[in-house]
This record gives sequence, structure tokens and C-alpha cells, in this order.
Amino acid sequence: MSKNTITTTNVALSGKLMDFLVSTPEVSKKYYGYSYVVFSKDNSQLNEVNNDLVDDLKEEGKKVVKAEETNKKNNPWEFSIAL
Amino acid sequence: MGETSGSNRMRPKLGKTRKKNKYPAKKVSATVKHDDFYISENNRLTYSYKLDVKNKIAEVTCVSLDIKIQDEWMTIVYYDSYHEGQLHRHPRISYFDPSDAPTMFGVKRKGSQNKLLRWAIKDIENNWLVYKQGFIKRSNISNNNTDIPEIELY
Repeated sequence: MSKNTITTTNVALSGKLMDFLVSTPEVSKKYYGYSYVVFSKDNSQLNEVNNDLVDDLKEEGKKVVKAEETNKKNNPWEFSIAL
Repeated sequence: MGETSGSNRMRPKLGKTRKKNKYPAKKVSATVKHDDFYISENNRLTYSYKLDVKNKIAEVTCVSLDIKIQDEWMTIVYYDSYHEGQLHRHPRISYFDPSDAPTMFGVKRKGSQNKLLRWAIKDIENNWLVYKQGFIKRSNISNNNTDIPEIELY
């Protein structure tokens, strides 16, 4: 997969996540002030880069939440705090 | 935002496979430069960076797009290069949610801190309207029960 394609995928995925968060206040309330890092359900290259990003942000002292894309229509994201 | 302690930034990461950055962050002096530029009455670009002992840019502390909402400034997207000199973009989720969704994608990776700083400034100059429109759209979506203050575009 080309770098350009991965970038486009990530931008689209981040946009999708942000739209989800603003339309589900109960989730955004739970992780208020956190940094969200997206993980794709089918793009391992993207996930690898974002895994490094999680480590970076944690070292920076930020509270990080992993947002993993799912196939479930009623639950399109799964969230877990990066420890 | 953009706060740095600098205590363990260069600590090696065990088990990491990422290539070492060609332009790692250098030892910085206490010198911090800060500037604001007003894009329009309600929009400004702010940047700050640290200089090393040779007066070269050692770290991009923050390059941000701030918008004025009811006489208060709010940062809606910012860049920093806190980690190993790598630039990250941090877009704010919405007016009501200060969380962000950081990314390294679509962000310049290679180059000196000087080049990264210039790139980040240029990116905000070129795309501030897109960032702002996205932020307003998301803030309105989340505005189910609460009144969002009016946000001037320009």
C-alpha cells in the first residue's frame, strides 16, 4: 500500500472517529481531555505507525485512548486506555 | 499544550524498530521564541520554538491556529515536535471537547527543525479555513442540547 493511500486512509479514519465522538457525548465525556489514536480494522501498516505514535504521546505525558475500528454497525469503535 | 520537561526525551526505546530520525532534537537552551500573526480579526497563527546553544531551532514547541470565540482565544489545531524532532498534528475534537486526535500522517517528517517549523506555519496559512470549518461542523454536531456561541468564520 502506498504512503499516499495510507495517509488518505488515516485522514478519513480520523474524520470518521471525530464525527462519531461528537455525536456520542457519553463516549467523549468518558475520555474528556484524552488524545485519541485511531487503529484500522484492516490496515496493519497504518496501525504500526500509530502504535509508535501512542508511545510518543505517552512519553509526552498525555493520556491516550486507542480507538479501534470494528465491523459492528451499532458499535463502530472500541476504546481502550493506553497503559 | 506543548509543555516540555525535556528530562528523558532522548531515552532509547527498547524493542523499537522505527528508524532513527536523521534530525534528532538537540540540546536546547532556555531561549524560547514566540510570535503571533493575525490572519483576520478572529483568527491567528501562533508559533513558538526553542533555540539550541548555537541559536539554531532545536524544537518546534507549538504552531497553532487559534480562533476567537466570544472574546476568548481557543486553539483548534496545533503542531509540535516534542518527540525526537518528529512533527505531530493535534486537531481539537470540538468546542465542547478539548480532547484531540493526534496524527503523523500528512505531516512533514524529514528535515531540520527549521524546515519543519516553516512547513507547519505554511500548512496552517494554507489550510486554516479547512481546519476551522471542520471544527465548526463538529462543534455543531455535538451541540445537541447546549447553545454554542456564534463563531465568526473570518
